[in-house]
Amino acid sequence: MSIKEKIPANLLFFGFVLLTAGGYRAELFERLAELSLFLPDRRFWAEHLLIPGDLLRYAGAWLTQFFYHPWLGAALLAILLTGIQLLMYQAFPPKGLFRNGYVLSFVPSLLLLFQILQLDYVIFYENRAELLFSQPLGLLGALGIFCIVDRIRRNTHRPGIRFGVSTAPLLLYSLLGFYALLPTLLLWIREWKEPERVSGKLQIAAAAGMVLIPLLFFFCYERLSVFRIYTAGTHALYQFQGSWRLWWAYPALFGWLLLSVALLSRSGPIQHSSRRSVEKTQRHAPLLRSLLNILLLAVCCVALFFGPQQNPNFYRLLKVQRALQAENYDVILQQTTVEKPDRILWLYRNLALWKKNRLCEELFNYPLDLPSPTNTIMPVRIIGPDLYAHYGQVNHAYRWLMENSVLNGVKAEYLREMLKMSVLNGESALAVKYYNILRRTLFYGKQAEQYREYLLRPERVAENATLQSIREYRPDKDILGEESSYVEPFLLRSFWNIPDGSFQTLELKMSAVLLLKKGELFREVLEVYRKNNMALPRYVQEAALLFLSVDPEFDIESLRIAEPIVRRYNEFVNVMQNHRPEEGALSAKLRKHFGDTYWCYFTTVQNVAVI
Amino acid sequence: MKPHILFILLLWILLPLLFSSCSPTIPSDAEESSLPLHIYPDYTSVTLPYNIAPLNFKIEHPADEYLTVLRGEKKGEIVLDGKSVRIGLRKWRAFLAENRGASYRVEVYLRSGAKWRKLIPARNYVSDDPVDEYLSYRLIEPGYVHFNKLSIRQRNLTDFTESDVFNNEIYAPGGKKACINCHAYQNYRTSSMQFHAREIHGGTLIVNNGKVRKVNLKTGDLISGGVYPAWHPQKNLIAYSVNETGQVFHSRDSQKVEVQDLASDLILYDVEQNQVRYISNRKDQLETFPAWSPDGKTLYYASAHYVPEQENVSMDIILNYKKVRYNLYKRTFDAERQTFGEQELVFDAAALGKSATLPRVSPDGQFLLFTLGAYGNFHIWHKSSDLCLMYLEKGWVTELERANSNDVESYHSWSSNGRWVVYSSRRDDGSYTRPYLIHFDNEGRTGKPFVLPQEDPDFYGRFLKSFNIPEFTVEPVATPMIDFVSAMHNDPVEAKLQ
Repeated sequence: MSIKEKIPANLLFFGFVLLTAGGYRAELFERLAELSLFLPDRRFWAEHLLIPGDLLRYAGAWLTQFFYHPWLGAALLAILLTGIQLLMYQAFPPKGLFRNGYVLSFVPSLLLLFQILQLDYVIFYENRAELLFSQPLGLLGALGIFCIVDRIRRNTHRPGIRFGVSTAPLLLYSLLGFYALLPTLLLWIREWKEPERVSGKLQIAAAAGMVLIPLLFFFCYERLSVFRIYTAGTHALYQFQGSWRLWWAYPALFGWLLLSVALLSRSGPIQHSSRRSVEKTQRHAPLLRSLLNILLLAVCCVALFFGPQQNPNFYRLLKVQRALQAENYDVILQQTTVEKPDRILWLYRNLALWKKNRLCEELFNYPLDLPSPTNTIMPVRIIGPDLYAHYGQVNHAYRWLMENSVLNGVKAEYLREMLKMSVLNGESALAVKYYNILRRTLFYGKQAEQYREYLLRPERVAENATLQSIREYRPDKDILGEESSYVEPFLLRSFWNIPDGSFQTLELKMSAVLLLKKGELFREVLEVYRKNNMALPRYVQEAALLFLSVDPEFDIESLRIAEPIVRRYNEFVNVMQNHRPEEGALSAKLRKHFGDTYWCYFTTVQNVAVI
Repeated sequence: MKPHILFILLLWILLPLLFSSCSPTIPSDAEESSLPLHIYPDYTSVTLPYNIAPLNFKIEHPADEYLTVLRGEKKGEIVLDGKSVRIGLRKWRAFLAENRGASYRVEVYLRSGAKWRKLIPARNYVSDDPVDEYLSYRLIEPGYVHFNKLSIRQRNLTDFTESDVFNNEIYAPGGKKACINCHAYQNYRTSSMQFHAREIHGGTLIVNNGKVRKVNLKTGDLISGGVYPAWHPQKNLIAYSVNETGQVFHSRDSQKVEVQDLASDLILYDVEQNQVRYISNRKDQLETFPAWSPDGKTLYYASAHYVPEQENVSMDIILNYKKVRYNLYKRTFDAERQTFGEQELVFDAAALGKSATLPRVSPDGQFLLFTLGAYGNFHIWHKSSDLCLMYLEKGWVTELERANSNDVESYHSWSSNGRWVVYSSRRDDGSYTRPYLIHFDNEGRTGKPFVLPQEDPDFYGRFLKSFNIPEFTVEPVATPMIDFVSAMHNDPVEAKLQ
């Protein structure tokens, strides 16, 4: 195919990557950048020389930070993936039936992109940000080496030199790990297919080199696991958690390369003479070929975009967390008002409602019994730092940031939040440490700067409304022993220890009573509303009917509960009392007609604090 | 001679001369400033061993240009420029050798505009007492429950070289890593040593007679496998505590975490016989942190009297955590019969409303160094904890004021000659533990402590792991890591409870 035929497909692909990574899925890539870290110092460099292939992680971390500006990161990713595609075509020009299949050279790039777009909550548990660029870089390196070495090999007739050249990439094992073995393996297969291949002995020697050279390196590296000698530089399959769709693209990519070299491609680059002769005989074929390839590529891109199982709630969560950082509670409410939310979104929604003084007014106006999203093995690692911090549990927020740091490595996001928690805790020296590290980053230094003032003058924290509001909700006395691995039960218990005073405090306490169905504590909190002449929110009124209407010592009339609520309550009681088993499950009926009421929650929801 | 060869020869002779004459010039017209010197790390007025690695530092004053002069009291001078002062190893060694037993001045000159100022110099003291050549420690985040990449490292104190004794990444089947901890050596030598691995292929890895063996010390009715080790100085016996440990979190206190023993006892493990026996397992006592005297005739340990008031021991100890206080005790030991005497009180910390742990006897047997905190035993999380010293003959106890700070001081080890102590401190930022060295003379007087020197003066500001269990050794660990890997892979040998 001529360059003119290829350009449209390349442009299509480039544009697709740019739009996807820089536009439609920008939140994911921005977040991956935050869940990464690059520091331009010798220590960081030294930390990325510990095992073969670590150089890819280093370069990958450097590139990932540019997703701070999504379009910039997307452009870099698009260039990288396009480069892989071009090298694929150069290295494995299709033959036979597939000779017009330019689109085949896009397969590795599409697989890599697919793998990235599959990412969901797993980014909070694994170092997926590392894969964003490191694996494409590795593949680019492997293909580049393959092309160069193959060209040299093809122009050499001496078997010894062919052997030497083909195994030379092994010397780069230290830098590229597996991606130095890969071109050697591919060259070995190609050599095997050559009519005048090198002798069997040299082939065996090449195979032995692929096995032994990494083994030798094992003794030079202190941190290279015995189980990862041949896969150093890649993300080991056992490191992937969650479903198979989160990792299958990597072995598929490897399989595709083997297939390409063994069956789908011919040896050597396209000869100019043959291209001219093709053009002479098929004048209309170029246009058809180009269109066909573009069409196939477009289908692949669409399939990639729409096909894979993607949890929309994950992207909503990213937007919600971004909005929380900006204290934009309206956006949080908008993002969480969806048909099929999950429990995580519900918790953020409650936080936003609370901040807007509408918690007990709208708490149960939402689907009940929400599940935790799939692929969330420990939700506290995702939502703990956010929610704990905003509800004043600074110590516990810091704890989970540290746990995440330990498990995933230090990231820009964790540093920023640990800086904030240290400022709130009055741990100035610790805050300075995190500030100084964050300042060294290319883009996140600005986020650190907003705390500089409080490092110099800690008393000024009281002048910052956000920080001060967190401080106000810190427990007034120290309690030892609360386990915060489960967010809901911990928070609901913690609401009791918030100092009394404001309507917002009351909202939290009442929400805990309602959610935990603590009827015996309801009256105590209700009295605070009454004492302060506060209007009773909707769900407090509903709960009052449930808990107090049959209490002979309590004058329910004095609460002046809204008439529509009383009416509806009577209907609810009527349904409860007159339900017949043959009508089906009572809970289904109640949820259908009274699903937005506290009475329905009280009656039908069993698991009150799930994650 | 051909011209180009002559030219190359001349270049070869002249270039070194050219560069050697390029050392900075000390300004003669510098104004004497009344500003004291601030450098990081604080290597001013410290006492250092003559064989320590260079004390690189950075100058914490703003200026356009910097000049540092190290001027020996006896002899020698090192002149360096730059805000970050990195001293060449050869020059440094020669300089310290020339000024051994004396001192040197640290003079810093700052240029702002056209004027040079000289800050008030600091003076450091070069002790005649060498420090042991190696220090090993575990690197771990100051985390809580979870762990990930851990390594036990050894550092050559005479330079900056560092290497792994073992790390948990090298053997991680299925990506699952073991928790490695509690490295310990017999009498500063590494031919007999041990550390624990738990979670994955767990056990205690013991090196003895050049062989590595993995042992399961949890046997019989022991509440756990061996935890805190103390290798007998002469015999192949290791005293361990066995502990049932829990960890709980503070909701408000910035100390964040409280680690508590719900139960603990002491055992003795015979390495050759592979046998375990109780030293002490009183139900009303929490015995822990064993340590031998240098002659091996006495075992020191910490113990708290604790009887739970309610059935739920865990809840009880959480509610009463501030009341759990450890005293220091000892028992005599007959090495031939392997029998222990009765428990004797050494220091009644509880009577003072305090809690004492980690007893360590100096190599000359004169002093007992320990950590004193307000309560509990895991003092690395207690900002109140400080180092204290007991004069064993007279029974006096004093706080080591020069060693202590407003933050945590804990885990300490003596050097083999008893002249240096390394200990863990969180004084830098309250969270990340750093190893500090302090000189100790034969009368119990200390110098000013200094943090373990690093090649990069900025190292500690940037490093996000803690130095845990610093231990001196006189030689590097010779056991190759592959031997540890091999031992980890094998099934453990089950110890027998006598």
